Amino acid sequence: MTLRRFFLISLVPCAASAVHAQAARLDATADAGLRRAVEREVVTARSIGLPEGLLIAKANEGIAKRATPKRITDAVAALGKRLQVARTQLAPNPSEDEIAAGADALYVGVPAPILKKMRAAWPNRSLALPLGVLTELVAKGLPADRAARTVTDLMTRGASNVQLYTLAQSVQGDVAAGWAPEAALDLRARGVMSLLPPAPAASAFTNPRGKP
Amino acid sequence: MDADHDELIERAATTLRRGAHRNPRAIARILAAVEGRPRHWWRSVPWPSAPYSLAATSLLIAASLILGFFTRQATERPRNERELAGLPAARPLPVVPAARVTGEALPLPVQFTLRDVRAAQVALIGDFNGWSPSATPLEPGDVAGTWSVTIPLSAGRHVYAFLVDGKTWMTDPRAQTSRDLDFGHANSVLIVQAP
Repeated sequence: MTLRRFFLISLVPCAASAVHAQAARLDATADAGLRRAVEREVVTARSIGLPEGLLIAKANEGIAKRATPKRITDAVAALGKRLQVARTQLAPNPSEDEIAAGADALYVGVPAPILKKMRAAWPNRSLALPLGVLTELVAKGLPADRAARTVTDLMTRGASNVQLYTLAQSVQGDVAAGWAPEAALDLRARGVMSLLPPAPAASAFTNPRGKP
Repeated sequence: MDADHDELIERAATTLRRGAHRNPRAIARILAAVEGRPRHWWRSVPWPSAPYSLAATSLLIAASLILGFFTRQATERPRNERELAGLPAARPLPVVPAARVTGEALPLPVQFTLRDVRAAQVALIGDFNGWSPSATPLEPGDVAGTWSVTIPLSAGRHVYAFLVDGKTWMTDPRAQTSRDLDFGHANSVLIVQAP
């Protein structure tokens, strides 16, 4: 091992620390009351291992949108609860991206158990993109159950992230062009399904109680 | 044959022995030259020679981790205390926060553009930079009124907006929008595809 290699190894944790240090910071214009309220939420999140940076980012979003401190505090507290639910539903080892995406899905009205079913469908792959696709579909006006069934069926049948992404983009475009969201999802999902192998068996999501 | 061989070896050895003692002054000159050569200080330092042992390598890695730990303690804790005390924070780097990077897929470069001929400055704010107005400024283009910035984003759904001249909230005209139930302003939406 040369001295150069030693210094390179030394730089790895230093660089990681520097990047982490940039992760989140409360806007300097926040008043003292808001700062204390956000600090309380952050301390709580930290104590239970939630990604605290997301809470600070939510507060910064409210500050940038010139929301009242009360509204910002309420939004931060609500996000803290969603993060906790998302982490529980996406157990056992969700990444921060997955927890954030799960919280976003809950925010637009996706029921919490759907997150658990999506985790069951993709236990070893990141759900950040599928959850983002689901969130966007629901945000576009699709019923959460209908959108979740479609996304989970695609995942179970082996759809790739690219195919899920294409589905979301296509539905977005169709809805923007004036299509009904459900009609757009049905048509675009058929298009992706036609490229996939047939389903080996009914997924846990489409047959949640396990009855024949 | 053996007698010839032994005789040849014996003659060679005799010659060599005689040569070694024939010129003692030459030997003395060589030794004097070696002793007189200037010695550099670094030649006296006992540098470790490669390859290191497993234990030495482990020690070096442990030392680097400890150095990183203390660096983090030194850079992060005072920053939070400063911020929570209301003091202005340092200007952040325009990078994707570590919290948004999963490690499963590398972030992909995404370019954001805006055309606004009246803007003096434009910032990109979104969930990927903690909604910080100072984190990701857009650069003016060669054509007047054009602004752009390219940043790496992790796969998934992101919401964002432009902040024009530090006060005007503007959604991206080229992107879909999403309602914001918390604060009442719509956000632009972007889904970043995972490879």
